[in-house]
This record gives sequence, structure tokens and C-alpha cells, in this order.
Amino acid sequence: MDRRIVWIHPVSSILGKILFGPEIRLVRMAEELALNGYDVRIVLSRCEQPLPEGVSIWPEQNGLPPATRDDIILVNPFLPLRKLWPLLRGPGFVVSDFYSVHLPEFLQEEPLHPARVFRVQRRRIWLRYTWLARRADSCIFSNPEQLAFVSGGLSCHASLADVRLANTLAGKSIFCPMGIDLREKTTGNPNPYPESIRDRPIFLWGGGIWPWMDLDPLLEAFGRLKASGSSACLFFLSGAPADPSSRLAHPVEKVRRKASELGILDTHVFLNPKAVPFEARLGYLEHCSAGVLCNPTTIESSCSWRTRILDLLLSGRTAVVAGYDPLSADLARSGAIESTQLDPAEIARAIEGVSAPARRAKLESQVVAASKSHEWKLTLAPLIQNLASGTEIAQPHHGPKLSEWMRFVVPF
Amino acid sequence: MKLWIVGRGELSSAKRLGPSIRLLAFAKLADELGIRPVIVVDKVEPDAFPGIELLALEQFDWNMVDAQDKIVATPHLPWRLLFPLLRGTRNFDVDSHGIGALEGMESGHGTASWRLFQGRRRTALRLRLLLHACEKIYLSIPEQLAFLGGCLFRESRAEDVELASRLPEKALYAPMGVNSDPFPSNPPSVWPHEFGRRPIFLWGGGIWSWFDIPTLLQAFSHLADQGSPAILYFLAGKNPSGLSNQDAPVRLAREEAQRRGLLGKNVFFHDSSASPDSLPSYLAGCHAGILANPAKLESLASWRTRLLDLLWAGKPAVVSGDDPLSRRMADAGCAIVVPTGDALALAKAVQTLVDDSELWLRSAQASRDLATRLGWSTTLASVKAHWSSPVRPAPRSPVHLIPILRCLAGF
Repeated sequence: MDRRIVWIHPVSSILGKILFGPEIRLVRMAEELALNGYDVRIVLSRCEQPLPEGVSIWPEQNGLPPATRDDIILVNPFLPLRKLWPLLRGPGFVVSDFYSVHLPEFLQEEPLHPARVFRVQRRRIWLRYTWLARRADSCIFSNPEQLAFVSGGLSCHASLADVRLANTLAGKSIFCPMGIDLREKTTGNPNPYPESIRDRPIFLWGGGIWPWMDLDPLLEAFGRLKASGSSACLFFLSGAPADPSSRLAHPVEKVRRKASELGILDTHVFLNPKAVPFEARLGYLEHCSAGVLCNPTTIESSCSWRTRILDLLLSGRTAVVAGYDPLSADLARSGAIESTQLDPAEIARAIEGVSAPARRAKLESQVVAASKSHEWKLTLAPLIQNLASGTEIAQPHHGPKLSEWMRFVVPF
Repeated sequence: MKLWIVGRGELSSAKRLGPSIRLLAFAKLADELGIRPVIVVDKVEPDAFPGIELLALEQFDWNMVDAQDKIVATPHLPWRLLFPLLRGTRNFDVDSHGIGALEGMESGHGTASWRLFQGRRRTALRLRLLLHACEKIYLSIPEQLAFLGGCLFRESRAEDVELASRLPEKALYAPMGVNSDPFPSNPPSVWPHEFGRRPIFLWGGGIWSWFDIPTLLQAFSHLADQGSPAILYFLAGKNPSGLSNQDAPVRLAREEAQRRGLLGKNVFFHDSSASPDSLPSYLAGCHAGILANPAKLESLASWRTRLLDLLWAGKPAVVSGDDPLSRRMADAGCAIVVPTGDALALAKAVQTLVDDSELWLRSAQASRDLATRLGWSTTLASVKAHWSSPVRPAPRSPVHLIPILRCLAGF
């Protein structure tokens, strides 16, 4: 019997030598689908990675893949419109991967854009979400908060049909957040930290420093720790943006300035002077005492799935997390991480506590169990079950209305 | 100092539904903090609750509230009260623990679509006005916050987007809690003699249009075919809301049970609605609770208070479909949750809880354990901290007239 084909349409058409979050997700999904008997084909223009068995490439240069109504089409919502459009109108069982609902992240970037540009961007993203939510036979989210956020947007300002869609979106949604690959080599990596801090409790900020984050409470906490004579230090893994002129360099500079003002730069706060390839992060994870994260009280934190916490789980490390995000809240409930309020004194107290080996060992004993429950095989299981059980081909689709397409294209 | 809790509905010793239980919990908390509570709702029974001042909405106006008093308002205040509240400078909190807009999404059969659209817009705009103006909003779960965030974000104004982003700063999670009174030790039996020792699965609240009753009845049809002794008992055999437009779900459930030949066999309805005083008897005598959620937004963002009653009584639950409290109960080991719409799985879960007495004992213990973690003192902890805070916010700016007029017009 012919294997059922899954066409994967990633947002980037290049799979380079170094894989980041979205590409890792893509490869793990492809692998898991292939292991479950699907013929997986990724639409790419270039691939520099060995692909798992059962996964092949459809060269983008060859045009639109010849999908049939029996095929499964896995779509990233942020595909360029010229690629998205035919998929919305084409045949097949469409699965829309909303695992990262981008909108909340944009919120904090508004000052970087003129208000009009921001409004147009926002409208375009909502139109994409609406089209895909309508067209998709299954939708993937990372957590219920993301589904509720998108449903809230769909239910507002909408036609009766879209309100019904908002209400029933849960019925065709599954939760497949990012997972971890326990095959990665998490021990025996050389210690990459500067000599001067290797004997101190190192708290690792293990991902980017993004414009929507507020690190002041964390830095002030380390100011307090310095004043109290603590040897705990904070290490930013991404302290050297690849492009110093990019908008992403601004928050790094802000951290450097604040740490300098507090007199803790290079005594208790260290910014990695070099960019770290993805695989090299394992050494930093292995040799830190714990991770640290500071969630601002924003809707972005409320809807996010913090993959940097997953890295810590992979390496058996616990974390101190200030403020709320869904993954940390789950882990705190199971006793795997230390959760605290977004307050410098509270954060300092939590870091002091986790600096003690006994307390850390207790938390790490729960991390092992938590890491198993976040393995890719388990996080992707709902997708495999969904495709196996409910892939009835829906009604023919006509795609978005012309008026909606015009609203997308016209920038006002 | 007084706490004015201004809402809708009826408060009497005889009729204690979820919303009034909540108002009383707020009043009790205020009393503990040395704040004199005053509850203002549509209809009150004077002196029904000693220590709590009760006032009818028609007798109330904002001039009765002193500058230092605290105000908690519910989103559905009449415009006579909402308008001066929004246009004034008093600080107030909003209690929106159940976002009614979700439940109303599917209702309105036979109503013109433009009326539905207008009704929804009015609800959304009212929430928007309140979110802008309030100091804090009390919600039950993060999913409700995310829903409101999405609603606001979809609005086109920059101030709405800013508010959407910062909404968690205004939110306090204060879900309904487990009854703080100890569960009565030996409540009198209320079950019909004919039930004998058959295990009863209790549907412990109203039968509303947003529940998945067909799956539930299909499951009990399977159980009947298998010769299972399990009984399904609907505690509210009549529409408890008193609103005639919500009669249909009860009638349809009864008709469906009749059509399947289950009525009086393994599916039973209470003659009318059980009184609050008799609730412990029904809970004590049931084997477990049962609930069927459809895969809808309402289930995703609801906090099912009927499950809290089961926790109070130390009873497990069997649930089809997901809702946040069921998920929490499943994690704690006191509920079996099966996929939405899967009648066979639901029937199997019911039978497992009938056959496996050790599982039942473990689940019942887990239910009692979770109840201790979900008491009112825990669920209202953030509200308590907020009310106790010595920090007094500065008077806010009045809401502009134009958005209020837009809300009234519904566009």
C-alpha cells in the first residue's frame, strides 16, 4: 500500500548547517511522521542537513508540489503570501502549525515602528490567522493560552461564521509544543565559562535578550546579591549579537548599561563576548548551576512556551523563574524549578536558595521526570494520533474572499 | 471603610447559586480584613445573612459610596450605574470570573444575525471599557486572560493594544473555591429506594446548551447494553436559571434519554432542582460526578464549579472533553478524563470506576487532598493581598464619552 504523503511547507526555504528552534521543530516533526509510516517531503530550495530516513526534499524551484486530496499539508502560518495563497485554495488535509503565536511578541516592539506600519502588520497577521483557522482541518498550538488568544481575536469584530469558528476552533486544535531530544550529548562537554567564574554558582540566561523582555528586576537582584556578599553570578549566553546594528542589539546594550550602573558588570554579571553555535550551548548548560529567567507581566509571557527552559530540562538543570509563563508554571507545580515574584528582593532570595547544593539537588531530582514528559516523541504524539484518527477530507475550499485579500495587500 | 460588591441577580437564603456564593465569599473575606461588606444586587432578602448588609440595586447609587470605600463591580451592571462609574474618577475592580461572552457564542438560534453581532459587539465594547477603567480584574484562569488579550489585540486602536499587552498587570486570579464549611458527616439519604446499591454518577449542575449531552447519553446507552448497574442522575431536572429561553437543553436531554429507552432505566432526572440544603445528601450518596465537555472555547476557558462540589464531598469525577479544572483534577489523580465525544471511552471510564474499588478509594482520597488546596482562602489569596495593600492608587481619568456611546450603539 502506498504511504500517505505529508508535504511540509516551512517558513524558510533553506535548511542550513545550524538549526535553530523552528528548523529543529521541522526536522523532529518530519522524523516522527516518517517513523509513523508517512512519506514526508519538505519543500525547500536548499538543504545542508542530513535528513532522517523516510524524509525527502521537494525542490522549491520545481514549483508547487503536486498535492492531492489524500495528502496532508503541514503549513507554517508565516509563509509568504504567494506560497500560502495556493495552499489555502488547494486540496489536501491542511494542518496549520500555530506553535508560536507571534503577535504578543510584537506588542513590545511598537515603539520601533510607526503606529501605522504596526497596525498594518497586525491586521495582516490576523488575516493570516483567520484564513488558516478557517481552512485548516487541524490546528497546532503550544498551549491552551495561545488557542484562547487566537480565539479571542477571531471572536471580535467578526462575522457570525468567524464567531462560530472561534467557538469551535478548540475542536480541531491539538497541543504540540516544542520538545527535547534526549539523544543530545549533555555530559562530558568542556567547560566553556571564563576561568574566573568556574568555581562560583553560575546562573545562565540561556537564550536571546529580546526587546519584549524586562531584565531590570533580575539585574537589581544581582545588585542585592553583590551587596550581601553572594558569589552567585549571572551569565548571558547571547551577549554578542551577530549584527551590532540590528534592533536585537539594543536590549543587549541596555543590559550592559544597567549592569554597569549597578556596578555588577564583570563582577556578578557577564555577557558572553562571542556568539554561540547551537550545539555549543550544551557545554554552557552542563556547567551552569541553574538557569534563570525573568518574565515580564505581559500577555507575551502568558502565551509563550519558553524553549530555553526546555534546554535546561535536557541538561538536568533547574531554574529560577520570576513571573509567569505556562511551562514554568507547570514545572514549578511539579517542584522542578523555583518560581518567584517579579521583585528584585524575591529573585535574590530564590537565587541564594538555589545556590545551595542541597536545595538544587532536590529540584534537579524532579527535573529528570519532567524532561521525560517533554520528549519530542510525547509532545508530537497528539499530531500523530490526530492524523491517524481524524483525517477525513473536508469540504472543497475556495480560500479567502477577494475583499480580504485586498485588505491584506492594501497597506492602510 | 466599606466594600461595595455591586452585581446582578438574587441573594436569598433559599437560592444560593454560584454567583451568590461568590459574593458571600467576598463579603466574608472583607469582614476578616475589617472592611464592612455591602452586597448590592437586583433582589435581596434583608437580614438573610447576619453581618452582611444587603441592598437592592434600585435603592443604590454611587453617592452612597465614600471616597475611601472599595468597589467590586460585575461587568453586567445596568447603564444607570455603569455610566456614572465610568465617567467618574473612583477606582474600582471588576469581577469577571466567568466570561459570559463565551457561553453566549452559540446561543441565539432564531435571532437575526445582525442582532447577534450587535449583542456581541456590545459585550466586547463593555468589557473593553471596563478593562481600561478598572484597577484590577478578577479572572479564574490564564486562558480567560489570553482570550481577553486576543479580543483587545484585534481592536485597531493603539491604546487597546497597549492594554492587551499589559493586561496581566491588571489581572488577579480568583477562581471559585471549595466550600470552606466541613462536609456534613451523615447527611440523610435522598435517593429513591429503587436505586438500591447501584453506583450513581451525578450530573451536579444545570443542563446547558453548551454541554455535550448526546455523548453522555450514548455512553449510558453502551453501559445499559453491557448490563452495567451504573446510573446517571441529573440533579437539575428543570432549568434552574428560571429563564425560559434556557429550557430547551433539559427538555432535549429528557427526550433523548426517552428515545434511547434509558429514562427510568439507568438515566434519571430530579423532579425539579435540588435545594442547596439537600446538595450534601446527593453528593454523599453518589459514586462519582460526571461531566461531558464539547471541544469548544467555552470549555477551554471555564472553571466548572460543579466539580468543586465533588471535591468538597471527596468524590472523583469522570469527564469527557477537557476543561481546566478537570485537567487539574486528572493531574491530581481524582478524575478520569477521556477525549471529547468519545462515548465508548466515557462508558469504559465509568465502568472502570465501578469495578475498581481500589482506584475509587485512591481517587476519592486525591479529591479530598485537592479540596484542601482549592479552598476559598487559597483561591482568593491574591484578592486578599490586593485589598490589604496600603497603597492607594491615584484617582483615574474618566472614560471618554465617545467609546461609551459606541458601546451603547453596539458598533
